[in-house]
Amino acid sequence: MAKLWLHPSLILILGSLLLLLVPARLKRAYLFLIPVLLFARILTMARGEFGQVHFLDWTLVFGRVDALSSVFGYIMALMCIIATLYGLHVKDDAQHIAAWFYVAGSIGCIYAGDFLTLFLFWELMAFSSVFLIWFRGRKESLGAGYRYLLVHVAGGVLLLAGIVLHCNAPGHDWSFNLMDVAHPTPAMYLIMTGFILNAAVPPLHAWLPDAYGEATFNGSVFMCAFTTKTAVYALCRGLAGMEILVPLGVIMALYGVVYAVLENDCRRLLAYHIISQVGYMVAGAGLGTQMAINGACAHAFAHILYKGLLFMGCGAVLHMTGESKFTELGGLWKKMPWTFVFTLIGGLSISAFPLFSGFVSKSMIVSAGFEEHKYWVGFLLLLASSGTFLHTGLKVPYFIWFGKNKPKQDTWDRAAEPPWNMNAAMIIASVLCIFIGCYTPYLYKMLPYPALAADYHPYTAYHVFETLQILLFTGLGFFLLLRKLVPEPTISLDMDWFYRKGWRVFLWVARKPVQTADTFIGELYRLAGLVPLMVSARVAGLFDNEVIDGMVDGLAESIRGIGRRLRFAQRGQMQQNMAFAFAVAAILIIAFLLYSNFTALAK
Amino acid sequence: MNLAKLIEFLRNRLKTVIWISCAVLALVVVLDAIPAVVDKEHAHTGPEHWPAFWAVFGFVGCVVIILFSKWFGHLGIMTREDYYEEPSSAATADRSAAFTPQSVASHNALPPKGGAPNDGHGRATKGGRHG
Repeated sequence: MAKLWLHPSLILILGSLLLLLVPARLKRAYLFLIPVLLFARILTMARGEFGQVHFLDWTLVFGRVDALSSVFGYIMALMCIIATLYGLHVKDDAQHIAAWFYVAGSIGCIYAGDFLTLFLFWELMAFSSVFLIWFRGRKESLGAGYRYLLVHVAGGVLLLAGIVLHCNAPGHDWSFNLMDVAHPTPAMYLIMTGFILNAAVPPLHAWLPDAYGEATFNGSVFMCAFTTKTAVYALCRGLAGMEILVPLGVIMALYGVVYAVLENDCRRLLAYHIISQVGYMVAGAGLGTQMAINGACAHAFAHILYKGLLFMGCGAVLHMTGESKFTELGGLWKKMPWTFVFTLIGGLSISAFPLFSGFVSKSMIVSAGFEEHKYWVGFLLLLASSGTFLHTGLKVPYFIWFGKNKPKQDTWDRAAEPPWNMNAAMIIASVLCIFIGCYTPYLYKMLPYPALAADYHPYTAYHVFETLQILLFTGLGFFLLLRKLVPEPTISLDMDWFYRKGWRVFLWVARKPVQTADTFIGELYRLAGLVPLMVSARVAGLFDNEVIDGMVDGLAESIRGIGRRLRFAQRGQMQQNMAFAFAVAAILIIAFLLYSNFTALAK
Repeated sequence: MNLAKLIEFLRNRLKTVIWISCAVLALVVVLDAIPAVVDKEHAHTGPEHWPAFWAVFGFVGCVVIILFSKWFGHLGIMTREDYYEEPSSAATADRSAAFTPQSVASHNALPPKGGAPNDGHGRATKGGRHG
């Protein structure tokens, strides 16, 4: 190959570094230009393997362009345009840089041809997206960001362990291809765990609502599109047909629905529905047939758009009113009617209403389940889609824009339609959602098995009436049980309890026996307080009180004091350290990419 | 703005909207039951051939999801919003307590003449005396 192969991630990484030098009046144009360049680059990329770098004993492949990676690359670049447009008015350069690095990480994973490159970009994703949470600037976002990072670092370690074990086994190399899913090894399970942690499969999912509910209004729009869908890609690429993914996917689909009923924060509700929707894709990857893989890819494609749209709608409400809780919102149709319409389009798309994007993608996975004669998969996924319409199509629009609840006066006064760029982003996403739903060849031609997809017809009378009946009667149930669904100002405990509260249980266990023993000894002294023993008892009591308790308390107190001080010292510095380490990593990646380009050029 | 007017128009005729919606529900079920309209040849399982099967499925599914989730949530999964917050609200209480003697002192220095003065009034007068 004698021509230069430009890695699409490089456009974003260099683009974000140059952003700092762009004068303020050109900034908006520049912010729009870079994602468009990325999209253009992805559209013009030829199929094949590019960007090979020999590094020590390994051959790193930065650019494997085939049908599967192309469809994911296409939609991610498109979403990058929409999401950047949505946050165009944000003045803080750092937010754009973090978002673009995050997208670069995601696209790097998509085109990675070997496990090491995949891992490199996988970590880049985690370490850049955490800034999108921290930039919200609330006390809660600091904690949520750290939890997000810790969970992802743990997942990354499992993934790396799996990769090392898998690739060093005899007969394996470092290339990232479909593994022997019929004979899973412990290494494959480790890799799978790393993947499904990013896909937010319960019980490894709690980071998702925790983080996405706490990120900035536009940060969540980025986050909802990339991390989980990159994981879906990785599952489709490496573990398609792995049996265990089918039940996991179905559990996910229903789990998200149940928690969405309880949720009071609209963005956390949407986050639980990501879990539910990604469940379809995970189940599709687990089924592993051509139809199912087509379905998983199509659904990921559609999902990125409609979920982005939903997060944009709720993000607009948050941005304008400062509120995202149902109990603090209501009746906004007078103030933000267009935002309502866009959110509703997102809601109808995710619910798979005919003529909207979800209808032509979700049904592929359900059909694949039925065709494999796994009827329970089909029926349970249809049950989950009833729940999806219940919440995202009905509960979110109803309790924000209608409902009996009246927001506080200042919330009401602040409410208004968002700035033009946010509206423009929502319009583009809405149009695409309807276009995909109406004109199926647009999406179906891009799928990994286009011939099979061309034979699939979602608009049969039976399928349309099946869907209409399920959804419309779900609507009936919603309005009949409306009183049950009135949001309550609560939070729901989830698996994050174990790392947010679990340490307290540990402390309690450690402290309680010590205290009980202490009291018991004290009591023993008191009861045995016969005259001859009084003096010695008093001395012992004195010893117990002054020395032992003093030491224990003093030690505990000083450790707590040090810990408290260290913790505060750490928080500020650690973020700086991370930003620094992150910059070094970025430079290394750029060096690698440039090197790969030049070696390709030299050949 | 026209959109808001349209929504208002529909809201003012809520009863009509509800009747139309019910008619649509009935229509969908009836059409589904007519074999000439909906060909059920490709249905995978027996129950799918029953008339209104998917309508009942959707409705019952929705009710089950709501009732089960609420039951599950009230087992103790739903909890107060500050559940995860560390108990350290003593600082603000202290600060408000520290202000009390000051305001009392200003009240003592300036006995109110007619009506209880609020904080802003008291502070303004005090500032004027110092100046």
